[in-house]
Amino acid sequence: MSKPALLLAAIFVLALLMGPGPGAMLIDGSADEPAFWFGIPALYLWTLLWFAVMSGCVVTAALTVWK
Amino acid sequence: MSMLAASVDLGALPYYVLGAYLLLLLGLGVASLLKSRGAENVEADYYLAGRGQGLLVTSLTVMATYFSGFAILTFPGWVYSDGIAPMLFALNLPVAAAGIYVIGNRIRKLGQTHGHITPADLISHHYGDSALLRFLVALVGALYVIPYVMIQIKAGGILAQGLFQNVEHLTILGQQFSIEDTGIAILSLVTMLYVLLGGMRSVAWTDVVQGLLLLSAMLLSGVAIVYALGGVGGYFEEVSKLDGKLLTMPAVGERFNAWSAVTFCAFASLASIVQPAQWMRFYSARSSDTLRKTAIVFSTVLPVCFLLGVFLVGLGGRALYPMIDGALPEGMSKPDDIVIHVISQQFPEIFGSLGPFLIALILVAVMAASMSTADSNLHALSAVVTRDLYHPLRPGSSEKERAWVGRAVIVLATVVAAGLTYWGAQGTLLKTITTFFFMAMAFSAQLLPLTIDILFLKKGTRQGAIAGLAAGTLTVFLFPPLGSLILGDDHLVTLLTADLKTLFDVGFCGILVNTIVFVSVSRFTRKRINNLPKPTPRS
Repeated sequence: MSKPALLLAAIFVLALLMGPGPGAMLIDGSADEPAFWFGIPALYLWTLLWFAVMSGCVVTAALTVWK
Repeated sequence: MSMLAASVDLGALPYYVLGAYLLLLLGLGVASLLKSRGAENVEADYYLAGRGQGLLVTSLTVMATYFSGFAILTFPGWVYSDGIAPMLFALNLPVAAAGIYVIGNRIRKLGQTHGHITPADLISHHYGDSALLRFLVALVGALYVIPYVMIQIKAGGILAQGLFQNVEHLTILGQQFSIEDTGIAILSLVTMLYVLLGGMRSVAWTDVVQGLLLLSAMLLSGVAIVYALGGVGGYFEEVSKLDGKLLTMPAVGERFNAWSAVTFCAFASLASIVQPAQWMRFYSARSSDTLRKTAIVFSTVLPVCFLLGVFLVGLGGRALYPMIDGALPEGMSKPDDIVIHVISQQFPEIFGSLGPFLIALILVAVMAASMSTADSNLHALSAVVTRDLYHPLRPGSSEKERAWVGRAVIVLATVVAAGLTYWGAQGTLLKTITTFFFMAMAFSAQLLPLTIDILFLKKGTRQGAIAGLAAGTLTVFLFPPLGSLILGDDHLVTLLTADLKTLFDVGFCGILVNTIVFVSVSRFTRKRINNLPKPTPRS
């Protein structure tokens, strides 16, 4: 496995563990006081962020190492 | 059935839209039959479209097979009832996209080299042909495919009832039939005909139409809810007033908690990638480049349709049509109705005279989502029965004979599925099959350890593969609702697996047992084979 492929795989796995996992529980606030970023529920933006990271890894891999 | 708001009168539009859609599907079936005329390899042409499918067809047939009506009804229904947390479960999409290339392309290469058609072909070729291994792989495939065919046909009938809500029943030859039953019969017949006519080619071509309809419907419904709440600013202002529980993660042990999300995203996604119908789509792809680009399309288009489409409907729908004291608003009988409720209320206002046409089109798109999953699985079932069960029993059978047996399987499976949904609706059989439907992905996930070993590690043995697959499948059977069905709700095993299920995805638990048994038995049997006395060479 080449270095770029290894780096992309590491970011992807980390994102998979952090995104839907413990990270989401750290940033969402509480049921009494949910967290907001820029007036948007933090958990929704968090979901968008990890989607962008994980999909970005797939697209980058497809355009570079898988080519 | 209150799927459509009573205030919406679609008139004769549903007849025209549905009629045009079904005629288009049959036309594609005939066109694919004409294209397959004179094919040299009958079986590879019927089951794999001659292994020559390009990017547009491959990407849309993979996406349309990946999602059933679940994508546009159930998922936004979860967001409506439970808030943002279920959205994190959609992070399985990039994982599946990576699987399409990393796993799918290796499957394609091996399939092309050795002429494989079903998953069992590849697995048996690697571990050495064994009737038991082939049967187990076919069984795991069937446990995924059969419930999917039945439930999607049933869903098509229910959607037909929503489309023709002003018609109580039809009278044919003096017999009265409900719209749901008529819908089941017509949709089953059309699906069966185009699968029979063109095999994989017609299934994939119709998936292009069905996939485009589904993706458009997902995005358009997102536009409708944002417009209804006064634009992006108004949307998030209304959403921010929702109960804080809907905007935060549930505690460990509750539905949609973080740990179940991680295991679901990691394993359910790959389970959907190694189910028989997808496996055959990898074999059908023209080249590595096709699957590489399919991974790009899958990882970009689908997340956008979810995150900026139907998910917004679920969350905004909760603000626009709130639940009062836990009761659903008028016009909704279950959370899954939210997308249809939003479009039927908002489209006439947003799109004017075009509104009713778009409502009818989206209802047909939801029906298309069900049909595109049913046809893929019907086609895969035919291949699995013919290649993995019939051929080993009649090794001398010709390709032409097997192609006709495959077609007979499609007719028989369609008649049985439609018959069971018609006559078994009130009985326990349909409930049992529905129970299997909810566990289908956990069953297909049991092919993962074998697939990873074949493609990357190459350390397992046939005995290990058989033991691991059997252990993983049995483990899935012990989880509720299947465990409750077999052992009863109060059995110690059922209570234990019910607790585990709140923490982890069921497929993941099966994979864990499967892998431990697979590795242990493989190590033992490999040592034994290595220690056997070597045959003395003849002088």
